[in-house]
Amino acid sequence: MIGTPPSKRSLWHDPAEHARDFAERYADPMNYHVESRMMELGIPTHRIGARKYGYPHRAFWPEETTGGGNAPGRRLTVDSGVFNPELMANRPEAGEVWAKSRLRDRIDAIIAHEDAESLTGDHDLAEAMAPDTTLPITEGARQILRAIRGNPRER
Amino acid sequence: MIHYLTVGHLDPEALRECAAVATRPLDETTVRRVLAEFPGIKAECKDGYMVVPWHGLGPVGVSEAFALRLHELTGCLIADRRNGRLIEPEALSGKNRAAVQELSQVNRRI
Repeated sequence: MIGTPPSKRSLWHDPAEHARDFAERYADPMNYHVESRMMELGIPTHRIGARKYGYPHRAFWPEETTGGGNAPGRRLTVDSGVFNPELMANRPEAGEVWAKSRLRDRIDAIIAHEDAESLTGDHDLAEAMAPDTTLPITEGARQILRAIRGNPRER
Repeated sequence: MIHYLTVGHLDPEALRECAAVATRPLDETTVRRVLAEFPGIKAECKDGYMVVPWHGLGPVGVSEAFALRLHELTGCLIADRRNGRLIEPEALSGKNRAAVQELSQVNRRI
């Protein structure tokens, strides 16, 4: 092996792990913020957050790394992936927009995407529909969603 | 935003609460055989089940074909664990089914 072995490297060579560590430390204020934002966007109360096996009901799941999710009952959650600048590193165009976006825009984009996916039950359809959501998300969030929709071949 | 496929003999009750709990582990020999059929796949072995990248993490076809193949050989479940839902094998694309059949035929010839 050339260079420092992975076991000796600092944790932050992995952006997803860095994001997860940060999310764990700020889980409570993030949960409060995500719940408030979902309410502001008009998500019905019964669809804000979800319960996970072994955890209480939460809207922010710091231990998960996918950006967000939609649990049974169309319950929406955001997770530590929101802090990960490389969440979409596999998708050049969308990845660039995502990495440069503000946290508030990423949160709105995730909520809109998961809302669309919970409605359609299909990831690709959600990517196609989300930029036109009727939720009052920020313009920055729509830019992220448009970049994701931009090149279906990257999906 | 991104998705992983979870493949194994999963407890549907736990899955509804977004947790992967294997009621029994996948057969190791079968897993090794299927891994050999899909060289280079980024499959992760967990506690008795497998996790493969899906939407937003590169081309989905290979992962879907891998999951279908394991399902075909072991009768295990395919799930989107993060979102707490089972995925019907029929819901995965016909193209992938064709890929699985083709791979099976190649393997039978070998």
